[in-house]
Amino acid sequence: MASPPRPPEPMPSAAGLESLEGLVLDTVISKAGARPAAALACASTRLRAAVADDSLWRRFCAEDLGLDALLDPEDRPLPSFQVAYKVWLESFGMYPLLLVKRVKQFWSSLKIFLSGNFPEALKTLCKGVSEAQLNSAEDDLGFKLPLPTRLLYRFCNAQLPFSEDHGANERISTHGIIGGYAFYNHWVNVHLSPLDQIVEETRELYHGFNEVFNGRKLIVVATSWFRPKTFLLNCSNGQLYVGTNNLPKGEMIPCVPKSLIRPTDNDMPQDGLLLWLEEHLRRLQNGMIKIRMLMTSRYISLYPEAPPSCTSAMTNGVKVRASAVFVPEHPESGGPQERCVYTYSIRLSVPEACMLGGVYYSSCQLYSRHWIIRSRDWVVSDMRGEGVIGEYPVLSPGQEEFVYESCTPMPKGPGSVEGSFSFVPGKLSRPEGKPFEVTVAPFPLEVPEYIF
Amino acid sequence: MASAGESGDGADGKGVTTITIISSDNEAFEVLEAAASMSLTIRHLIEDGCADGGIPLPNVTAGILAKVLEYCSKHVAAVAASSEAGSSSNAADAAAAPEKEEDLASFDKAFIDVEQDTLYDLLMAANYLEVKGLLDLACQKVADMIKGKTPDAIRQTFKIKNDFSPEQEEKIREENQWAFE
Repeated sequence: MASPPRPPEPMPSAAGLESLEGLVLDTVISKAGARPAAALACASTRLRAAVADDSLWRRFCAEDLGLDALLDPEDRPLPSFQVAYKVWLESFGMYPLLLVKRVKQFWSSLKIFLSGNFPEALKTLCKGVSEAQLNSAEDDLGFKLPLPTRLLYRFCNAQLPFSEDHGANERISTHGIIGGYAFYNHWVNVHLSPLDQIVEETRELYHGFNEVFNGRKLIVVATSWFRPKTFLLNCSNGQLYVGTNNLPKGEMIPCVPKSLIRPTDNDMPQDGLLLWLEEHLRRLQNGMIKIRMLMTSRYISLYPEAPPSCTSAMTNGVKVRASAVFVPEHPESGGPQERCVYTYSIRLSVPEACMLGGVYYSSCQLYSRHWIIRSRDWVVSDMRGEGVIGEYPVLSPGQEEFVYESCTPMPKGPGSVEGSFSFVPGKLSRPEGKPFEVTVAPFPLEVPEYIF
Repeated sequence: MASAGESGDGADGKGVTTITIISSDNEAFEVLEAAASMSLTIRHLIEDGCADGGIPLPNVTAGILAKVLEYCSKHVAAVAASSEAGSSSNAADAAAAPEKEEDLASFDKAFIDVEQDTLYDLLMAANYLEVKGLLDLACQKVADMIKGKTPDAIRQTFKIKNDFSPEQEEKIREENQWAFE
């Protein structure tokens, strides 16, 4: 690049930028920003020295990049914040800085959460990919990835891939960072796919169902271990979709509110994948969803744990919590009536004491259930049955919740489930008093704004 | 707000206290105590009882002092008006609040649109007198003059001598190349 001819030297003035007191000059530089500071550094030795104040760059790093440690993008140590800003900008300057800060913050917060709550899943997260690797993937796919998705993968290449090694797959099977549910024989645990797996599975999808997917810029970004459940990102409009059981025919449902999707915004583009992941992390952090045990493994359970989706009722000291999750991929969905399938989780416990008519009981046992299922306020099912999932749980004060999962198909449209359980104080084999009804407060069944 | 009936320096019978400030070139300015107190330096002098006979400022000339006091008077009046509006049950007053904020913003913008030399003088006076709002305003103005400029343009605007050797300048350019991409 040819440098322009030097302009004539201006007359230096007595008072001026260079003679400003240190703190005042710092304030001016701070307000000007990082790039202007770098330009100032090239103007004179005095200004270069003023700009070299590393506390200025510590502030720029924090504000512009969300960076507060002297580490480069690969966690290697750096000598100063001034160098750090330069290094990070050289690595990520091709993206809007606000978005860089946001995506960096997302992965950092997710890793902190996993480190404290699900370290096995943290171990499955892989190092970010390079610009070159992203470009290569785009060449393989034949179209471009949305900017937020590129940035997500720059910081972290999602989770370990599913491989030919069945044993290895089994070991990480419940470690999906999206998680899932398990009821009867329908087990789902969703993992975020690494870049190579995205390309491979997308190719397979197009190959297998060419007429349906050809020409559409869809990529497979998340898949389930156990039963199939597939999430696809539309790289044209930025929306994220989940395939129903009719995915081979192209049937899929949006997972993120449409109004939030702005894939081409200049300063802060956001696509379905970023919005979906951020919402998921929020729910993990605020306890709406929790880590639970599946046999001897931890997994992220999608059953809501807090109102309004999770309801709670207490009768005679017996507490029942209940919530449901929409299951778009269930084989029984669809059909001519456009059925929806929901799975629900019921948690039973006696937090303090089971009391009936002034008498305390040391235990109580469930013997029957009564469910009323409504679709748009019409009762579509009103049934009674013995036990729950073939069991007759005994509850004692202070013990862990007895939890079970089941499912129900529903006509299209919002609905609800409510009901009651019949309990006897003591045990069924030796009742200590009269049976009593325990309420299950109505809980909602509806297709949510965000589908996980 | 102004205390009614308090006798202080320059009480003018309307019940508001005024203070006399004297510039380095011996010009006296009478202003509301509340306005003068926007300068932390002056406020401390008043609190320490040094205000009798006027407060001398050996570091600030009349021209600049007049500007600083103009800023303070305008801003103190705006604060008073907005707290009146806040406690007023008059809907018109409350509705006028954002408009008044806009008025203040336009005032600030016009106020700080001055020649460079005056700008530096204001900066130094605001710093010495500890008038935070004015210091921020002036710093922001200088910062805005720097934004978007190449090093050459910066030197032109601020009349800065390039004291790098050609080799040094090349090296420094390279170090900061990231900012120009």
